[in-house]
Amino acid sequence: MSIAAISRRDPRIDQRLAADPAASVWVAASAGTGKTTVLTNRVLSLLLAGTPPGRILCLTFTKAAAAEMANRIARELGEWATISDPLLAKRLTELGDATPAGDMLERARRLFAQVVDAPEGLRIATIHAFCQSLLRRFPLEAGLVPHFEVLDERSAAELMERARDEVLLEAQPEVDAALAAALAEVTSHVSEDDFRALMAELANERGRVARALAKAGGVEAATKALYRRLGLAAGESAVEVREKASADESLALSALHAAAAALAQGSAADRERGAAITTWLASSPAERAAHFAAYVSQFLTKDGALRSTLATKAVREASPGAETTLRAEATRLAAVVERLKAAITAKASAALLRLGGAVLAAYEDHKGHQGFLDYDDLILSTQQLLARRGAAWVLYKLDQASTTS
Amino acid sequence: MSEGAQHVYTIPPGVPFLDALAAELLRECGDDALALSRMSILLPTRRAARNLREAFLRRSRGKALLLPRLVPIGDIDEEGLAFAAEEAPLAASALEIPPAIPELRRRLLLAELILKLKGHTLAQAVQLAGELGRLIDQVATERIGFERLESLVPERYAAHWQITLEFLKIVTEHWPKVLAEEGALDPAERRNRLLEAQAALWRARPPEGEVIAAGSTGSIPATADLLALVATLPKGRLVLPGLDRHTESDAWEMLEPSHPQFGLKRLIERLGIARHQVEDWPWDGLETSPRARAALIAKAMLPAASTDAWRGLATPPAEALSGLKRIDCPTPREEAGVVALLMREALETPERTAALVTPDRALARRVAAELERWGIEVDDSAGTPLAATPPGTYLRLLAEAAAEGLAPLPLVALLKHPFAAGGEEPPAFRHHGRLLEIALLRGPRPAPGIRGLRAALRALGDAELRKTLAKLIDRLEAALGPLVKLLGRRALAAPRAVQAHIAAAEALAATARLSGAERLWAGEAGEEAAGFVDELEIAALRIRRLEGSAYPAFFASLLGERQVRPRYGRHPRLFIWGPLEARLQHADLVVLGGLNEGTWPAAPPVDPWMSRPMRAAFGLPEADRRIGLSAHDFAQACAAREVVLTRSLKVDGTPTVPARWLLRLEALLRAAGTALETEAPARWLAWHKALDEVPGPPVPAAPPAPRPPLAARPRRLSVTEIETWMRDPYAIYARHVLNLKALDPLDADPGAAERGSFIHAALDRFVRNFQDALPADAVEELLRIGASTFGSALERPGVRAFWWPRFERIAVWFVATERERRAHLAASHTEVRGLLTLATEGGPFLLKGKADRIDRLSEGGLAIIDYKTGRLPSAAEVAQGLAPQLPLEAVMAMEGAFSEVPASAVKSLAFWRLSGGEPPGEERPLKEDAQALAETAREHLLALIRRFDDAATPYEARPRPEAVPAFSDYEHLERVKEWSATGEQGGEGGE
Repeated sequence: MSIAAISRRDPRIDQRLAADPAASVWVAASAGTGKTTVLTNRVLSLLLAGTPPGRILCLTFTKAAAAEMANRIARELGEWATISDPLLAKRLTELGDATPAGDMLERARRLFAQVVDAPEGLRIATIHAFCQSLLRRFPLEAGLVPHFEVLDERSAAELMERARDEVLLEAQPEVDAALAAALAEVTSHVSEDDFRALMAELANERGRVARALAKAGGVEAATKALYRRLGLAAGESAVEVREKASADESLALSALHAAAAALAQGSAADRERGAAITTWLASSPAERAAHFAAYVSQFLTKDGALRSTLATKAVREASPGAETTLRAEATRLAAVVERLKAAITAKASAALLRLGGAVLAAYEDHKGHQGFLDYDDLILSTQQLLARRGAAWVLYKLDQASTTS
Repeated sequence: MSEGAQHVYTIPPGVPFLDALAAELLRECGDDALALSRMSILLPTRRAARNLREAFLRRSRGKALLLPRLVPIGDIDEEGLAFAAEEAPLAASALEIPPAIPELRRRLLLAELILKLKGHTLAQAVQLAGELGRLIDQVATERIGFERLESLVPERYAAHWQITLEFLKIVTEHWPKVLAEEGALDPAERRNRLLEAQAALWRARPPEGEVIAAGSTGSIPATADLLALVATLPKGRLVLPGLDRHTESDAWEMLEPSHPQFGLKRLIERLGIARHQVEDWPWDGLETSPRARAALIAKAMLPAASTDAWRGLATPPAEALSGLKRIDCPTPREEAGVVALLMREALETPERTAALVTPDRALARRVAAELERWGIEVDDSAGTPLAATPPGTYLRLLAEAAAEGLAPLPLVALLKHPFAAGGEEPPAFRHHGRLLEIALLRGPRPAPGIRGLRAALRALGDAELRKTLAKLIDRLEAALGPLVKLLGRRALAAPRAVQAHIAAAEALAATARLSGAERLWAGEAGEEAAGFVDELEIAALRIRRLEGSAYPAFFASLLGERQVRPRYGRHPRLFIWGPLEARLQHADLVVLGGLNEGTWPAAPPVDPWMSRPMRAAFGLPEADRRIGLSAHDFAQACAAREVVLTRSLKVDGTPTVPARWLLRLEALLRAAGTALETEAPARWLAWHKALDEVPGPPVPAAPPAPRPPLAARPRRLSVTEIETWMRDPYAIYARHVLNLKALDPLDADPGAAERGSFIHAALDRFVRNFQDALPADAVEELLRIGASTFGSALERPGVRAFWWPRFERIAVWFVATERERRAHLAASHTEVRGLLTLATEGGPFLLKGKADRIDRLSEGGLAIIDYKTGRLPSAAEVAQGLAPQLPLEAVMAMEGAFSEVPASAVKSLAFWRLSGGEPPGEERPLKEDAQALAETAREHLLALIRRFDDAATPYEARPRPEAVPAFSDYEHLERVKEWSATGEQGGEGGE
């Protein structure tokens, strides 16, 4: 089905298709196009088909959306209870695509009171509220303290700050050398304020970071994966990259010497570049590595792009090979610079992972100790509850549905 | 049911129940003054008994009366099962029924059992114990046993169910033993036994006097038994509250637990009688609202299966709707305001009474506060949480401050509590507390405990202040010392903590004239608090291991559920009731507030043990029955003469769903082709809005530009202040004319400025120590000095992690730079202070300054250096004279204003940027010629002084938008946000 085909059709037809409770549908549409109407209609159809209100669960992302849906359904059902027969028949036809038969009108009229009388109304809640209510009913099964406390984002952030401060104090060479090294690496890149922002971001994404670490199998493994992902050997450092790129065997020595000689015959700019290249080539590999950046700047701009002119026209014409050699060297150096960046990124990220992993662990520790659950935990624990205890028991305990099946 | 006539009556919703009861009984007694005293009247609650007494007095019109015996027998959701706890029923004294266990004691005993299971904190265990206590009471109330739990779940789920069963062994196995040791009964069990004993006694020997059971819906099985017996006694009568005898029998048969009449229906079924056999209690002339109203509400409440009948209904008569309003307010703020207005208006009519009925205590509190606008004081008779009363907050704050080792935040909160006096008069104590706050508690936190305060005090410069504060700290030590020490322990026995807590509370609350106990435990809240701590001290006996730091949470969680209920309303005609307090009560105007789902009716409690159907199978009442009781409250209250239904469309920013009863009423009226009036609600909302409205659009403040007299203007400023003077004269006015200084925050993290000052101090000492030659291990030496200037700040994680590594990198750079520089230096002076007197037409003006460093060059002349750990002024700022610090220091140096440095030409001015980053340090000399810069700076300064020596020159706030200071303590005082927005608009007008 093409998108064009959908958009040309009367949107109400698609809405009706999506509102059919027998179908599982995924609706993506912009604001104000009737998503809530579709959802509301699905619920109305279910109710009309005889589903008890308590067996319908609607999850939304905001409390406002939950209240909006509940109010819309109540409003619609309230009208069903009171409008004339022909009008009601028309509404039901619009909803279900079929003329209402039998006692459907009467049943439709009673739905209003049935729904408002349902002890908890219709179950329309945000996903977090739903998870929380489920866990409150199954605290022991979920391995939780029955009076677990839900941490709002602010308290979670405060707890993260406490965890961060503890880890910072531990990150001293005499206490935890690896952590201290990681901290030194991170602080060489960011200021205290930036670090605070970085940690706040870590706090926001703690669920994802924790899952990523768990998936990789710990900080060490995650670090290895990181190096691999960046195309580096395990633990490959910027120094190593520079040294390797400055070694004789990595350099087209004779061609470069020839190119430098050719440059010496050119303009002032050519001569300067030629001299720089000659000096660099003449030094030992260790010195070359130390002055690598200066050498690179002869070939690449500050932003890492290849310089457009490596030799002036006179040189290019006098010795065409020189131009080719210089281009090749520039291309090689561009790749080395990329690798350097990757090595720096990998080292900093690995340090951050170690530090972040330690902060998260301290955070989890505090949370567990005091029986706190944050928003992520609500969802994780619910998942675990359903996986560990099986949905059957949960359903049974919720309303004994399975006793009759 | 036994043979014989049953005497069952009802009083309809539109009639004041207790007044009708009292009036008829008085009539029956006629002139026999003693007849009344031979009667016994059973009522659901103590409150109802008290109100009936008042009704008798009202009806007898002041005539002396011998009142009947009024006996409360307990209501289903009444808190604390009051009756069972104290008032003995008619015959209990003769029976040997063990006492009920005090609630607090039961909780702590249960908490102790929970703690054995591990994984719970004490505070959690205490909360969970409350939950288990409720389960025990429910099971006892319904007279079922826990044995049935075991077989509640089919075999295939047994393993899952076992987890819960295992946990519930606390109540099924362990609790009965503990209770037996205590020689006590659970309160619900004891109530059952009392009611049963009473019934047995009357069954065996019917009483000679009249017995009237009134107002109860018989939701408690044992109560229902007793009511049934009373109905059959020869001289017994049962009076029901608002039994509906008019709903069609089809519908009546289908009532569900959530229906208002469900409880009464069950009760008369239990009596074995039909609705028509229930007679009207005589109530002539007392009705306050037309029957049509009650009929309308009854129709709205029809069971779902009958609601299709709504459409056939005739339009309700006008009298059913007159006097019934609904006001939907935007938020609780408006709702409270409108309710208060409605109540205030009621006072305009002599003798008219008005009541707000709501389960929402926050709304109740708001309405009470709104009424204070007119000096009207109304108590919320549903009570205030003890934790929110003055003694409650005082005790909590005290526990927190002590457990946190007198940390600044909780200590300041405690010192400012009205009860805190420390043996002084409270105003004097508060004054001293403020001095302590400003001198020691603001800024970075002192070390913990009294010792920490004393250590911080020693570092204080002002001797007078030191003496005053030393006295205050002595007082604090005397009052709080023992508690602080005790709560610092890892483990202690709970009763010791409670005792020390009480002792500290009393000691700190004492004034010069009154003992702490006299002040603290006075009044309703004080008495409740005293009762609470006494009970707690005994109840806590079994908690032998408590972590000191956990005490505040432990105390707070127990304090949490205690309520202080006012014994007598403060206002004779206005009332605020909870739904329980409103039962059997009446007022001319009744406002039903907070009518949103989740508030009224309340969301059903979540049961962590059993689901709804499991509870039903176990024999516990349906959760919906609570909703039915609420619905009965609602329907009864709707029968007042004038009724206003209010709700908020949004609460805490979230849209709400109207209470189900409102939805039903709305739908019913729509079906009947009518609706509640909408005009009056709009009017009330508009009136409320008008109350606080300021006429006209808001007018932002203009930028301040004060013109203090010349004599008040400062004539002594530092070089850095000259910059402020140029950029933001108002800041100079606030600092030197008004003498305002910003306070540090409580428990402050040492700020960036302070961290910079650690580095300054280290470099200063290093250069001083090694004037002549740098040592071989200069970097190590500098780091050693740094470690001592950073001092205890290094214990702060942020400082250690960020500032120390920065300093290490700076040290390496600094030593290298210094080595090179020394070759050209004759001497270095660091942190040198100077004072220059400038002669102006307005008199001498003193310019003071402290240079980070002045170097005497070997070739002659001076170089002035300023270390910057933060931002550097831009070249443009220097060129425009907006960063005059170095040039002014040059002016001073050239004139020999720096004491250690002889006057000489200034050769160079430079910032040393010490970021500790990449690069760690940088010399940034000013490009312009030093002498020229100095000359310009001097001229600018003299011009500035001259300008402000004119009394007409105002100290403007930020007169130059391009020269706004990067940071100012006075931004708020200047109300910058208020006028800068409009200023910017003006500035952008050209775009």
